[in-house]
Amino acid sequence: MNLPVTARHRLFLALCASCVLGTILFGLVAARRPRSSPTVEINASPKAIAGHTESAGLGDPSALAKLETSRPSKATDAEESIKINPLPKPANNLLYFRTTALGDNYGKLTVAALNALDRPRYSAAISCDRVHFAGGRGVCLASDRGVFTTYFAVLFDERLQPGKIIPLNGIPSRVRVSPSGRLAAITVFLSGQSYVSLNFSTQTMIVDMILGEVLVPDMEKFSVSRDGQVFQSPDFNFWGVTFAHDENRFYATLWSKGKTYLIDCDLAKRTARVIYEGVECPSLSPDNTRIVFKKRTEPSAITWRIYLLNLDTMTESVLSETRSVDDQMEWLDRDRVLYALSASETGSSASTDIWVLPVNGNGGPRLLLKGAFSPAVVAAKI
Amino acid sequence: MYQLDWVTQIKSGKARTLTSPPALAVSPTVWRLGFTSFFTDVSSEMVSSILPLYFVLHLHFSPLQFGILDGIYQGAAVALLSLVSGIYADRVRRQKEVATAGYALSAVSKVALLAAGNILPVLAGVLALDRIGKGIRTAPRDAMISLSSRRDRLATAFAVHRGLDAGGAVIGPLAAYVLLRIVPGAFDLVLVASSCIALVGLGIIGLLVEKPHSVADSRREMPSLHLSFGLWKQPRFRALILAGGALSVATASDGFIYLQIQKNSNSSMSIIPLFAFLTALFYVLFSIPMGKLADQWGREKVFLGGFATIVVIYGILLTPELGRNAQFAVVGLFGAYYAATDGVLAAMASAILTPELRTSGLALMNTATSVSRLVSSVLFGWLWASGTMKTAVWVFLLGLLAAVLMSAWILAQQRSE
Repeated sequence: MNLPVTARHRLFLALCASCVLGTILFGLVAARRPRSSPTVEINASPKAIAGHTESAGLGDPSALAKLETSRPSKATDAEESIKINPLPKPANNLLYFRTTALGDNYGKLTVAALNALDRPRYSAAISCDRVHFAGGRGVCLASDRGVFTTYFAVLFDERLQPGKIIPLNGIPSRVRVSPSGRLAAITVFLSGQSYVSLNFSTQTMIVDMILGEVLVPDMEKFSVSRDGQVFQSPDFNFWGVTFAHDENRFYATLWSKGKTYLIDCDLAKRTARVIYEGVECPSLSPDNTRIVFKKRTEPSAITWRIYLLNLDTMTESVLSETRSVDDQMEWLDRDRVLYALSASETGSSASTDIWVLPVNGNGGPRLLLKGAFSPAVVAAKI
Repeated sequence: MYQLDWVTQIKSGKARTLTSPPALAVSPTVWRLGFTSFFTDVSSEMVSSILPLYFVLHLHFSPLQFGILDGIYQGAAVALLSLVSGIYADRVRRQKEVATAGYALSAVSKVALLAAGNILPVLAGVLALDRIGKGIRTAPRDAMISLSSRRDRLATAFAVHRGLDAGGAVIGPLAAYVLLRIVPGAFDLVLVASSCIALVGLGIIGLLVEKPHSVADSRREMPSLHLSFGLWKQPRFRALILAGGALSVATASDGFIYLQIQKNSNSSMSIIPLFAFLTALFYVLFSIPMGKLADQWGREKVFLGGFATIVVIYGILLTPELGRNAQFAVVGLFGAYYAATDGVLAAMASAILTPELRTSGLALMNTATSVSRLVSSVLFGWLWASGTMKTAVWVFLLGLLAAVLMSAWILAQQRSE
């Protein structure tokens, strides 16, 4: 540019001023938006959660109200504490999930009766990114955001009381608890740490829920077979476990050289067998005869469709959801599954909704619950 | 914000802290280029520190959607592109314009990241754009640094620039953290701030940096392609490229070194970003002392000493069970290695390249070292996958020892001739 020096200096100052001003204005606008992050900072670290465990009687609303008012509070906190819903009775079908409605409860572990989803009970102690629950035990995967973010899993019980904490190696991806609540499988992304290498790999671990200890640190130690032959490659990635009734058998996704496989695994023997191709994030039906999964349909675009695989006949069929779904399905009952989709069409919203879809071809998807993510269904205890 | 008082200094026309304090005697152009890099790096590191979280937890991406960005092919492509841009800058004698274009691409990519939403191919393209910008600007900018500096202060000049550049990697993650602390969950605010900071960096080189005189006034013939590639025939330059290449092949990449420290000390994987941060911090601390040392005591000695540091690091990594303090000592040494080698190599190359061919020469040098680094990563990965990590470290330790001795010998040969 051939401008005189003083003009260039002025132009530069104008640039700096508008940049600083622009950022501040945007920050002010962003600060006024409904929150998409937990407001209660004490929720975010494992230490704080452990601290909550010691304070007894969190389950009853009065102790909770005390806790809520004890923090530096806004006027709404007092109102909020009055409105705390009781824990739903186990005689109902329950839904555990993560609240993603923008606002003060964003990210909180939540439980509600399926027939009263408008009366959710939020956990005071636990905020997290992924949840699953079965057989009286649950796991919440969370991140402790600092200059350097760390990740951990919190085990919790029916009363949303936090228990043991297990450190994780990467960003939470999938979690499943076995039907009896004895085991859990956790998948995290191990990310390349630099801007230039975003090649993620996954780590799937299996946790003993009773002891609160890691049973299998990494599924990569499993010996895999395919068509009766040994199948191995350094590029193996495992994710998306779903447990069978017997607490030993489970299914998962195996990725190698651009292909995804459905594997049938034996926990005691530490073995896995490839039984099908093109399956991601399998979810086993309550009667253990069918699997719903997501499948990449077009190699060019990154979109997934939901499929159903019959394990007796090994035949697959596409379901009636036409939008792309990137989630591990959760069975609502014998014939319907749940999954989360972004609340905005473009997928740019931090909020998600839970949808329900019949797997037997009787109709299309229907909205079940707005502002929720990572659903886990628990059948009524009769 | 923290730029403000610095801006006032510029405004007053004096910019006393920016113009050569007597102890360093580095030209204002070098300081300004340094601040361009500083702001650009703050901007990039802000984004990269939140990117995995943003992608996975905010945009809800799955892991293997990221496979698209294949580091190796991309790295090779960028290395070639930077060679082309360096030769082009020499031919049209427009180092400043080419470097500015490179910074502009990176600034545009930050703005585009905001607009890309969650469409992954677009996001991948945007990130590639940032790397392309980096590839294009490096050689012309380094040529400008050297052309604005006295021959006997070259290493100090590069040290000032590299120190500021690494400072960006220290401030970036902190800035992102502070913003997310003030407005939780506002990833878009981080992206907006990052774009603005990148624009300030671009503004410095575009509006405040003068063209180096030796190039702007040159009425001599434009260097031909033949001349640019003819550099290879210059024995001193060839010796330097061979030494730089061999040493880079035997130096494991940052990622591998951090991974070994982490495994060896049984830390969690999530400590790795902390290692990268501390390396940058030590780089900032050691950069100027190392640069001055190189100018006074000998650039080759400091340069080879830097790689000797890596030999020591390999040695420490081979001892089992690192304590907590040992792992940070390793990271400190690693920062010292960067301070002793990166800018010093550029200074060594600048000292033997004529001004007309300096950008081509530096580009050739950069391309050679980045291709060597890619080879090194593939080699290390392969050794690790087919044996144990210890085997890989042993092979690299012996390889690097050989490379250091060989480099010392060929560089000494050239000096005596």
